[in-house]
Amino acid sequence: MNFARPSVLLVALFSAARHGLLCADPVPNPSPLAPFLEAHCADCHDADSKKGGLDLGALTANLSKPDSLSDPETFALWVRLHDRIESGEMPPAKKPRPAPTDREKALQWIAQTLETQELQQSRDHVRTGVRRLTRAEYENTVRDLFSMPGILVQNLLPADGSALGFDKNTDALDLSHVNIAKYVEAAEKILDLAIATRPTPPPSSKIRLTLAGNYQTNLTLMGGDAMLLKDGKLHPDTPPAGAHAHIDQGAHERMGAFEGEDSSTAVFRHEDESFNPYYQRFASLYPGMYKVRASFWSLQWEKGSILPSRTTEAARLSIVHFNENGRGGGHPSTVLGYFDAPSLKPAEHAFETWLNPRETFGFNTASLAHVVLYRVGTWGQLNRTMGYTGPCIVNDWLEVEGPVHDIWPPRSHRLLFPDLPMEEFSPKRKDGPRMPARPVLKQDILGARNRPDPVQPAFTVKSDQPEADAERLLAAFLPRAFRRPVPDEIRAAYLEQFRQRLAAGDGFELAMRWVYRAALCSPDFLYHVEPATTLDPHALASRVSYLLWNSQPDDTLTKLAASGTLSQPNTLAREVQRLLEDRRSDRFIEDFLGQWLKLRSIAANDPDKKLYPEFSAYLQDSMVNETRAFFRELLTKNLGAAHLVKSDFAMLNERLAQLYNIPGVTGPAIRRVQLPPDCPRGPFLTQAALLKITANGTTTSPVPRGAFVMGRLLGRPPQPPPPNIPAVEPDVRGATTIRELLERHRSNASCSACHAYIDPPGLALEAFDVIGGMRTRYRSLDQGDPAPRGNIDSKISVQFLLGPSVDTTGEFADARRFSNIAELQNLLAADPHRLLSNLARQLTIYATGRDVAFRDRAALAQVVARTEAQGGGLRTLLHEVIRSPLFQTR
Amino acid sequence: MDTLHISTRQPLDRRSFLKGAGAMLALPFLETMLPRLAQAAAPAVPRRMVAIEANMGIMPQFFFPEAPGRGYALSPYLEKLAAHRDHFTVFSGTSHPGVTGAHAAEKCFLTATPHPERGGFRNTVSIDQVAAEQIGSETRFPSLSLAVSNEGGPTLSYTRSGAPIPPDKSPRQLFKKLFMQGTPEEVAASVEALRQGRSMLDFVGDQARRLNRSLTKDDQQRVDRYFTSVRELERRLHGSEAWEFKPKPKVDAKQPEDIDDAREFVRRAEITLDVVKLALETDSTRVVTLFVDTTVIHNITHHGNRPEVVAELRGHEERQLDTLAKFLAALAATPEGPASLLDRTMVLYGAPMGSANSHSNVNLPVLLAGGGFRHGQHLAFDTKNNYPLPNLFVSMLQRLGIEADHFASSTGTMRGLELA
Amino acid sequence: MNHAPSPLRAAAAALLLPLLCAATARADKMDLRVIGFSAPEREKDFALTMEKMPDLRAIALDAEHARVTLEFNPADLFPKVKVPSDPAAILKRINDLTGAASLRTFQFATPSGLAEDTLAKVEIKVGLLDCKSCRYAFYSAVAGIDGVERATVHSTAGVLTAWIDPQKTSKDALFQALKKLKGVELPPQ
Repeated sequence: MNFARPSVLLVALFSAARHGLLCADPVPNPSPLAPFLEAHCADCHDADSKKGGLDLGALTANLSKPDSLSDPETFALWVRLHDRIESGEMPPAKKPRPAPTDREKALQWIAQTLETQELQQSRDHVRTGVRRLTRAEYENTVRDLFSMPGILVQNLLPADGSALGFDKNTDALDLSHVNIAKYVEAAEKILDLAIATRPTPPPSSKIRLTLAGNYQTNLTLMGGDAMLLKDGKLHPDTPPAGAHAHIDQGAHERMGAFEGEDSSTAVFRHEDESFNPYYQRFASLYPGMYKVRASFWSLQWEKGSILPSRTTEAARLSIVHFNENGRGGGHPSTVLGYFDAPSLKPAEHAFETWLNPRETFGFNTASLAHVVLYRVGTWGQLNRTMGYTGPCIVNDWLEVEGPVHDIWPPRSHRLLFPDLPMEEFSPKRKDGPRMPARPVLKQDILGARNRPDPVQPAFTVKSDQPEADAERLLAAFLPRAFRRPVPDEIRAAYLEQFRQRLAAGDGFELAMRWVYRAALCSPDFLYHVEPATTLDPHALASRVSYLLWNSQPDDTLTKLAASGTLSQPNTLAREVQRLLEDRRSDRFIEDFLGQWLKLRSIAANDPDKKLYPEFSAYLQDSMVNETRAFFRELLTKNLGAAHLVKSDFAMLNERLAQLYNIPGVTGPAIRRVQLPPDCPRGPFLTQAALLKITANGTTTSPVPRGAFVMGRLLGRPPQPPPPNIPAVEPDVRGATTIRELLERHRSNASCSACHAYIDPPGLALEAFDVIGGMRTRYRSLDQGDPAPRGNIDSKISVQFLLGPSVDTTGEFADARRFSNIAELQNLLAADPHRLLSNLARQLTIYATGRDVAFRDRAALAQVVARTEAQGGGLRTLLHEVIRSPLFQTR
Repeated sequence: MDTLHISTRQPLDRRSFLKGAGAMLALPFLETMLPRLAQAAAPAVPRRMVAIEANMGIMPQFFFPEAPGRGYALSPYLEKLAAHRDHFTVFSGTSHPGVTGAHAAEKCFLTATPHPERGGFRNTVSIDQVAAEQIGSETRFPSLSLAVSNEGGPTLSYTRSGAPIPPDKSPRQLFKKLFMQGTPEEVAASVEALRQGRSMLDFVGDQARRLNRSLTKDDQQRVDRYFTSVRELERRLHGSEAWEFKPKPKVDAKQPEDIDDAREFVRRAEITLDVVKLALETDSTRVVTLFVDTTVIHNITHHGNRPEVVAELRGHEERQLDTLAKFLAALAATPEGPASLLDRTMVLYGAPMGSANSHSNVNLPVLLAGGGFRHGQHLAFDTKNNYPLPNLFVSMLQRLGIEADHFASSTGTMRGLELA
Repeated sequence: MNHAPSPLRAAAAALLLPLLCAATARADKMDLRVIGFSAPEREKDFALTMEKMPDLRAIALDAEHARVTLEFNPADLFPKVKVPSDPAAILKRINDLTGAASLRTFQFATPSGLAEDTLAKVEIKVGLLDCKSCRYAFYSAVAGIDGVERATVHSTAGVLTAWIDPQKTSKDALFQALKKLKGVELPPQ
C-alpha cells in the first residue's frame, strides 16, 4: 500500500517505451500496462515483498535494456505473467478484480510486445530447426525402405535427448562422431542383410517344434514343474513326477522321452531367473518372413487329474535374439504377443513375423503365478506334480515355416540391384576385381537342428555395363532414400565415387555398396530437409508420414506429392485417413504416447515384491497395451477430449479387469468393455500404466502425480521446486501417510502458491496404489492389519498389511472441492476445452518439432475451435493440426 | 612457449610396412609413418584417471566418517579400505550445484550439468573426455568408457555436444580389443577399411557442405555439427591407422569370461577392473570411466528405513567397497619406476545421490584415491550448503598436467587437497 | 547283398578270386549279450534299432535272457578299408553303429559263457516312477558292472532283478551303484 511509489514502474516503462525498445516503432501512446501493474500487482510484487520471487520493478526496469527480451528466461517470465493474468489466477482471488477493459488492454500490450520480439528474432530463423531422424524414425525408415520389417538397428545408435518432452526436436537431436560411427556400422549391417547372396531363394523348411528338448525345459520335466501329455492325457511312457522324481536326465534324453512330435508339454512354472524355455531346436539362419503356428490350451491339475481350467490363460511368445552360441538363458528377447490358451480345447494361432539370423522363439506361462514345484536340493519333497493342485498351460507344438519369400531376389535386394542377374565367383581367387566377402553360413546355436545347405557357392551381381547400370540404379535409389527428387549433380557425384571405386579395383557389387553406404550416411538421408517457408509437396508428404507412421512416405504418398495434388485439402484428408487406418499408424501411437504420457518409462521401477506380489511383466505389458488401445479407440471412434479424464468404457483384458475389479472379461486379448456408471476406470487419468509411471515402485506421492496431471493433461506444468528443499524420505513402515508428510505444502504460504495447484489432483489419485489398483488403505510391511486376499491369485503369498486409511479429499486452488476420484473426474471433464487445447498443443509440438511460439497461439486456437465446431473428436483434431499453417510451414 | 614432445617410437620403414600390409595397398601414406607429435601438455611421467560411479547410491550413514581432518575414525564402509587409509581422501558436504532429479543425475556425475530432469536437458562434456582430448593421443586408446550393466548403454562419458559415448560392457571383448593381435590380413583389412571409411566420410562431408548452401544461418549451424562430427571421426580413423601398425602389448593374463547375470554386478565389476588394471599397466589408455549399474537392487535402495532391508542393502554395498579395495591394492602393488601405479592413477569413486532412499542429490558420497596427492584425510564441507564438487575435477585435470582453471560450475580447485 | 557285376570287377575278380569269393559270400555270425533290455517294452525298441541297420541282422533273439545272434558280412561293416581279423575290433564297430542308431541305449557284449544255474538272482527293492526312461536309468546303473549278466526293472512292483556271477560281483555292489544315482532313495530292503 505505497501510494507514494508508483513512479518507479511508470518511469521504467516510459523510458523503455521512449527508447523504442518495446515496440517496432517509437511509442506514441503510454503503455496501458504500467497503470495496471501499479494498481493490481505492485503491492506484492515490488522490490520489498517480492512475492513468489517476482520483482516487477526490476523486471520492467530491465525492459529498457537492449535485447532484454531476447533472453529466453526473461521472455518465458513475461509469457507466464501474461498467462497468469489471462487465466484470472492473478491478482489472487482475495484481491479486488481489475476492470475487464483494463485487463484486456494490458494483456494486449504484453501480447503485442512478445509477438513483436518473436518476429524480430525470427527474421533469419526458421521456427522448426532442421533436425536429423530420431532413433525410432531411423529404424522405421530403414525397415520400410528395405522392406525388412524386423531388422534391428535402433539399439546401435546412441540415445536421443528430449526437448519439451519429445525427441522430435532439433534441440534433442545432437550429433557427435559417435553417432556418425554408428550410422556407418548400421549401414553395413543393413547392406549385409539386404543384398541377396544366391540366385535362388534359401531353402524354406517347415519344422514342428516342442518345448521339450530344450535343456531347461527337460530339467523342469524331470523335476516336476512341467509334464508331458499325449492326446490330452498323461503320457504313457513318461508320467509326471510323483512320490519320486525322474532319474537321470541324460538317460531320458537318450531314450527319446523328450522327442516325440505327438507329445505336448504342460507347464506349471512361470519364467524366472533359472527358467526361460526356448524352442531351441530351431535357430534362424536366414533373414526373412516366417509363418508361425502354435497350439495352446490350459487345464486345472488336481493331483493327477486333468480338469477344466479356471479361465482362458495367456501364453506368451517372444523372439529370442541369441548372443554368442545360445548357451544359458536370459538372452535378450522381444515380446511377440499373448495368446489364448483356452480350457481343455487347444486354440491354434497363426501369424507371420520377420526373423533376423540367430533368432528363435521363447515361451512363458504369462498368466500363471510364480510357483516352483521342485527346487534343487529338495529331493525329499513328497509327491511333486502328483501332489500339486493348480493351473497349467499346455503347448502342443510350435510350427515354423520359412523363410517365406513371395519373390526372389527379395525386395531389399531389388531396391539396390533391380534387374541384374547373378553369377558365381570363386572367393579364393586373388586376381581380378575385388569380390564381396561371403562367409560360409553355419548353424552355431547349440541344440539347433536346422542346417544350411552344406555346399554354398558364392554369387554376386553381374553387370555388363557397370557405369550405365550404376547410373540407372542410383537414379532409382537416391530419390527413394532421400525422400525427394534428386538433382542430376548429386547423382553425378555419387556416380563419380562409383567410378573411382571401380578404378581402385572393386568389383561391381562392392563399388555399388560403397556408394549405397555413403548415401545411408549422408545428411540427405539422415536429416529432414525442408524448405525455409511453406513446405513443398515432398516435405509435406514426409511430415505427414513421419507423424502418422514415424517413417518415410510410401509410394502412394510420394506419387501424390510428385503430382502436386497432395496439399489440396480433400486429397490430404484422404491420405491422412488412409495412413491412420493402416497398421503402421500403431507406430505413431506408440511413439507419441511413449513421450506425451511417458509410457517409455513404464519399466523404470519394479514394484516392491513384498508390497505388490501380484505384479508381473504380463500385467505391465497389458497396462501399456491398454493405454495404446484406448488412444486408438479415441481416434477410430473420433471421441472427445473429456475421455482423457472420464470414460464410460475401458480397453481391457482379463488381467487388467482383475486389477480393476471388473468382472466378466476373459483371456489376454484387449477389447472394449462397457463400464458400470460409477466406475472410475477407463480414461488415461485412471489407467494403471500412468499410475505406475507416476509412482516409484514402492510408494506413491501426490506431487509427481499432480504434476503429471497438471502438465500432461491440463497444459499447466508447474514450476520447478526451489533449491535446497530436502527430499521427503518415504516411510513404508506404515507409520505416517504421505499426506501427513506433505503437510508443509499447505501450511507454508510460499509452498502453497504452487502446491495448491499441484497437490489436489495427486491427492485424489492417492486412491490408486503403485500398480494402479484401487485402495482405501495403504499397504505396509510393519504396522497394520492383515490384508484380505481380494482377487489376488491364490498361489501368491499375501504378506503385506493394511496401514492407515487413504484420504482422497481435496480442493482446487479455485476452491472447487472434491471428495473422491469420481468427483475429481467430473470436475476435470467439465472443461473439455482445456483438455483439447493441451492435447492440440502437444500434438503440434510433436508433429512440427518445435514449441508453439507466442504468435502461433492464434493459429493453435483456430485448430481447437475448428475441431470443436466439428464435434471435438480427437481424429478431427489430428486432421485439423495437419491442415493448419502451423504444420504446413516451417 | 610449449616445447614439442617428439615421440621416440621407431617409425616403420617402408619395406616392413609393405610386407606387413600387403602389396595391394597404395603408397601415399607416408605421413602415417612420421613420428607422432604430441602436445607438451602431457608430462613425461604418465598420469591417469579412473572414475567409478555406483549409480544406485551408497548409504550415507555407513559411508561418511564423523570426525573431519586427519586421523579420523573410519566409518564402517571405509573400514574396507583401511589398508589404503593414507592413500585416499574422503569428502563430505559436496555435490554438483543444480544437479537434481534423483536418478537423472547419474548421467551428470562427471559432467555436473544442472537439472538433468528438465525438459530440453542437454548434457555437456564429461571430465574424462576433456582429459582424453588433451592426453588421449599418447595412448592407443584415448579413453575407455566402460559399464557393468545389462540395460542399454549407461555411461559416464559424454562428448562436447552432450552425446553419450556408448560403453564397453563386455570384459571379454575389452580384453580382446586391448591385447589380442589381429593377423596381418586383419591388419591390412583394418587399414583398408579405415581408409575407405575416411574417404567416405570425406564424401558425405562434402554433401553436408552442399546442403548447407541452401539453408538459413541457424540451420547451417545445426548441419555444421554433422560436419564437425564427420571430421572428428575422420581424424580418429586417421589416428587409428597409425596404431594399426604397432603391435598390441603382451599381458600375462587370460581373456576373461563374461557373466550375464545382472545381479552379479560386484563380480562383474571385479573382472572389469582386472582388465582396467592391465590396460593402465600397459599404458593402453590413461583415462577410464566405469558405470556400475546396480539397478537390480533399486528396490532395496528405497529401504524406507526398514532394518532388514537396510541390512540386505548394506551387504551389497560392502561388497562393492571390497572390490574397490582389491582394485586399489592391485594398483598399489604394481611398481612403475620409483613409484607405484596407484601413485600415478587417480581413482574417483562415488554416487550421484546422497540418499537413494529419498532421491536426494546433495551430500554426495565421494572419495579420491591415488594420483599423487596428500591423502589420509576427511575433507568435510558444509552439509547444509554444499561445496561445489566440480572443484575436485579441476584439481584432477591439473594433476594430469592439463592447464585448466575451471570445469562446469567450479569456483576453483578443491580446497584442502594438496599435491604430494 | 549282391554286387552288380561289371567288367572291371570281373577282371579284378580273376586276380583276387579266392579272397573276393570268400568276402562276398561271407555271412559271419556272432552270439552276443544285449545290453539295454531294461524291461519287456524294450523288445520293440530293439526291433526299431535293428531296422535302422540293414547290414546287421538279428537272428535268434532271446529277449528274456538278453541274448541274440547277429549275422553280417564284415565287408559291409568296413567299407573301403581292410576288415580286421580281431573279433573285438569287429564288435567295437558293431557297437559304434548300434550306439548311433539307438542313441547309445543298446550295446552288445561277449557272453560270459556261464551256465544259467551258476548265475545268482538278486532282487533289490527300488522306488521309482512308472516311467520307461527311469526304468532304463536304473537298469543302466547296474548293467555295466562286470559280472552282471542281465537285469530287468519292474516299476509297479518296485523291484530290480539282476542275474549276476557271484564270483565277480555281489548284491551289495549293485546296491551301491544304485545309491549313487542322484536323487535316488532306496527303500528298506
